[in-house]
Amino acid sequence: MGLPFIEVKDLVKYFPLRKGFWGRRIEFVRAVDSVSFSIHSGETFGLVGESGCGKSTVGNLILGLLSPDKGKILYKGRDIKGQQDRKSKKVRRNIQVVFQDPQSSLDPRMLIKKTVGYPLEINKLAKGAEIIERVKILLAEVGLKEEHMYRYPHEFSGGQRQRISIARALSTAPEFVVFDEPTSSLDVSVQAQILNLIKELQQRNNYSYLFISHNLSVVKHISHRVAVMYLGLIVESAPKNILFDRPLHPYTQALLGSIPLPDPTRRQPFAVLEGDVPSPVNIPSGCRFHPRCPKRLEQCDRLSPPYKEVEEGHWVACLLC
Amino acid sequence: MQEFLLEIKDLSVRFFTNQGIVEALESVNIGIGRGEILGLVGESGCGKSVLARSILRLIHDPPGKIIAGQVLFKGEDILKASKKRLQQIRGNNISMIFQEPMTSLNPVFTVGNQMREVVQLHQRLSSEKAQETCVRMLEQVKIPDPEKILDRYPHELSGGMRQRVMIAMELSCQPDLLIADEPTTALDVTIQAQVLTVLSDLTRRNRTSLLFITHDLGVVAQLCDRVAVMYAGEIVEEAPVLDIFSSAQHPYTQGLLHAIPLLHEERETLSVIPGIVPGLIKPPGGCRFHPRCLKRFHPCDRGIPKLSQVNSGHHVACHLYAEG
Repeated sequence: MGLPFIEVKDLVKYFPLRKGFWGRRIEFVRAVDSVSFSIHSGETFGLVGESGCGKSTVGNLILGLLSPDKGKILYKGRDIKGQQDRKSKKVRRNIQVVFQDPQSSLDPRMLIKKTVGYPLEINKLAKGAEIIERVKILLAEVGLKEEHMYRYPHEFSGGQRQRISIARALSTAPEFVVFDEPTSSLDVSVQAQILNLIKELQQRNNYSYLFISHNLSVVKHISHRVAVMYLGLIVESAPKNILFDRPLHPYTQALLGSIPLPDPTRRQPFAVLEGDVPSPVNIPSGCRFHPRCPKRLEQCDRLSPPYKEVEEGHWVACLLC
Repeated sequence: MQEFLLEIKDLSVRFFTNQGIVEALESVNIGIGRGEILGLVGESGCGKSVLARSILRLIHDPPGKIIAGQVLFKGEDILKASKKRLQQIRGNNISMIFQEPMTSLNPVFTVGNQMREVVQLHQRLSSEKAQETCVRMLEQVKIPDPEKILDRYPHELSGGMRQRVMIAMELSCQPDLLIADEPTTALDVTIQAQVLTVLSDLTRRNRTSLLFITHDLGVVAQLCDRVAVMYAGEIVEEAPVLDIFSSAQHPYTQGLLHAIPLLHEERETLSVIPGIVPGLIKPPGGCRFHPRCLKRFHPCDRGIPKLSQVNSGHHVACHLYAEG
């Protein structure tokens, strides 16, 4: 497979939280706590987890929107962690993003022409009439029409706005795109359109994707490999068919068992987990999942399980494996 | 003919706004049997919440107005009930849970305070008895340490806990019908599983009818007995849950079912319903789905299709199946 396209090594990000009298006591939200994975060229890597597990923070760290406290982010073997100077701009334009809510990620006062063409302008990739030409091509590529250039975001539906966000992300001809819950705010029929578009674009242009979502069915549909996050850690990762057919971590099993299947002939009681997700400020000792784990052993509250490869490409962090 | 607990007949609702008249519901007919779980599915803006709110007359007037139809509860028209009678029906006979429990719970009172008020008001219990009832209800929704939770404020509870408190509160007066408007949409899957389990156990045990509104076809498949599919303010198909998933007849329902990514089946590309959901200020004439329909033919843009029976208990509003 050669050198991974993006490699993340032991990434750590804590957010300080001031508490107590005049904020003298400092606690930390341990949003991302030693996360490692790699993404190959032309591959979609899915990152799933419940709200607050740190999956979006991982995305923002790779994008350089946050700088990590520890760890490395290697882009084609080169460390790009925390580089926000002019030199890194060249690298950064190869890494683009599509956010969840197109309503808030598009400037309401910018014409679509400007929104989609702006990355070209600031990266000095095109000028004047050339920008217009490129915007036309980009809009066509995401299934919008030429006349849409002269409209504002509020004139579009949610699905169309998400298409505009995708066009903007593709404007600098990136090699890698982070999708942070791109279809969560869309209806099913529109979600299908956007998912098909994302897949098509990859097949056409060999993009690599990091696809972040809480919806396991969507992640399974779009990804080649999937990692499951829980409280700032990846607990299991594997090629999608292995992960969905033979999940090993009890948390992955519970997640899969809680999805309501759209098939009334396969009714089954949900695999119900006890309790709520603990706060990332007070992380349980040992295995972070042990207070809710139906299969916990005696030593689970003391030992943190190592993240190890149990079969080719299948990594699990659980003492049972 | 099945005896319905609640029957909605030709209900039409309009919103009179500055932009124009929103035709939110267009002669909707639906019934819910005793102890039945009816799922109401549709995409955002199709009018499913408006339908739920109309049942308890919770539509704000202005701008909303129920312009025609009846909502018959055990034969009595709720739309014509006096204010006093309506107050009795709300809570005692029909109660409702909303999507976001934080907006339904009052942030400045403890959970116990609010729960006791409900039982005391509707059942005229003494405060000790009310306390006992509340503890018992919280136990039923599987909340650990119910006494402690009663002294907490809503913001101290997690989303799943709050939704369970709401379920406990709404079921405390043993209503005949519970309306749940997307109760698990804001929750994570593992928490959704907890809440759905509690909700279906309790309603089945007490033979409470449940009108469950959602956009998640998975939840419908796992929970409901019968399903009604809404599109642009109209019910387009209504059938027992097995029939909807095995032999959907309306092109919209078929499109919806094929558009969801599945966990246990590989779909290379998802089939797509072209276009977008129309606005309800000037909805398309004829069948409201016709501009997006793959099977449209000549009468579709003119005649409004009526719900007609295609199989026992299976009704579809589509010109493809019109009689004659």
